[in-house]
Amino acid sequence: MVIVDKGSLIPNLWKKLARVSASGKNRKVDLLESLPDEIIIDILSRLPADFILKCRRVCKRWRALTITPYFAELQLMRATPTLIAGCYFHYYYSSVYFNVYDASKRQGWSGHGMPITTSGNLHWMVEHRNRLDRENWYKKLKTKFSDHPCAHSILRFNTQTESMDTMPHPGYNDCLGPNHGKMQLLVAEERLSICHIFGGGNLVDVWILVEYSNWHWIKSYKLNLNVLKTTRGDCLEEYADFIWIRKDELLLHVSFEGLFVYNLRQNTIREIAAETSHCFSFFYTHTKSLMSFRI
Amino acid sequence: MSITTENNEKMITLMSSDGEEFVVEEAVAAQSQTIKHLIEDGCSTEGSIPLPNVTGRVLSEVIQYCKKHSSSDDKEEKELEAWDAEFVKAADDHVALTDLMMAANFLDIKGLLDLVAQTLANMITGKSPEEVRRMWNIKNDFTPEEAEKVRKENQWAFE
Repeated sequence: MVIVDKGSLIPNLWKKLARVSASGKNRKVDLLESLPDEIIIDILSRLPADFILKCRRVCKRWRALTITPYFAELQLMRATPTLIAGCYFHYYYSSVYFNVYDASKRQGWSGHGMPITTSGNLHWMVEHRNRLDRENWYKKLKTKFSDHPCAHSILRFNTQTESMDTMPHPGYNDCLGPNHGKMQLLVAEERLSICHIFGGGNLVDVWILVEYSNWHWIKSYKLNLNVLKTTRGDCLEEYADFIWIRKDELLLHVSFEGLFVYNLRQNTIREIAAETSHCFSFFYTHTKSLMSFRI
Repeated sequence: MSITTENNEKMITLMSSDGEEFVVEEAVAAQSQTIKHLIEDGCSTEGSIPLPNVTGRVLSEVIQYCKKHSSSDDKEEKELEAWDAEFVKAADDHVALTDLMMAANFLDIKGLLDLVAQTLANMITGKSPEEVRRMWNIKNDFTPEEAEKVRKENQWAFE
């Protein structure tokens, strides 16, 4: 951070100011009463809508100030859209990309695939589908960040605070960058998970995020897709899509081949639907449940 | 009172509510729309400009901000943002920030007003009504029945 000489005076001045404030405890009592309505409106109109509702419960004056049409209009004018997402079809792999823009931070990201939802957050891999994308992605991140680019390989949108950040993929410290093969996010038993196909081969590591708050991943399964014996040769990297893991079974899709269930305990695979001339492009899941839909 | 420096910068004197005097370049003081209008109306030629609503300690802060923002051009936007962040961080007390906000409001300095209001808003975000009351020392003046009513009227959303 660059601070010019003049700026170094400020911390000292503030310390002085804080001492003066602390000595006059009574000032605090009438602090709010002395604030004119326009200032309170100015501050509160910058809050996200759900916090304004909370603020209405603080006191009668705050409620009165925030229920007017003028206030609603001011808040709407000020509210920054946090997320603008567009998606388009990639011409070659017919896959979906989300271009995500955080207007308040003025940061744009491109995430691959449909978002994976766990723990109240949406997750994407940052541009990761094929080798060419991966190389471009790696170069871009290298210029953007001083630390390891793979520390920014998972894009996360918090639906509660409407903020975005990036997180590392598991094992990123030893990662060799764009040649690390394909990583794909999915949900495994309600947790965030990653299937990692090694470059050039058919070996897959399955990582599961066991502690969300510490971002602690554990390598839970190792599988070998050679049992598929497909006509795709020995590299499934570009063709395999991992859909979910439930009850020790991994549901996966292989382009031009079909849908398969891989039993993670017994290392066996069975086909559940074959593809003919067209590939499946999207997978949605529906569960009959007593719970209403919520993120 | 109006002085001119070697650089031919016109200087003016601002006087705080507690009688402290600050001599600043006119361009710096004119960041405040209120002062700018006073200068235009010829109030600065007869002596120092009195600011009855602003104490000396708050005024010195405001002047630091105005100096920084009058000397920087657009190219330094990033650096200025970092400086602003440090400026409000150094305050880290919402009481001091509130004083600064009152002064920015009276002096009509839009940039400072935005900066401090946003900082205070960020301090409120994420807090429960109870925490907000504690932070600002606000008395909960709802009766239990009224509180329940307000809670219910907002229940439809986000809960």
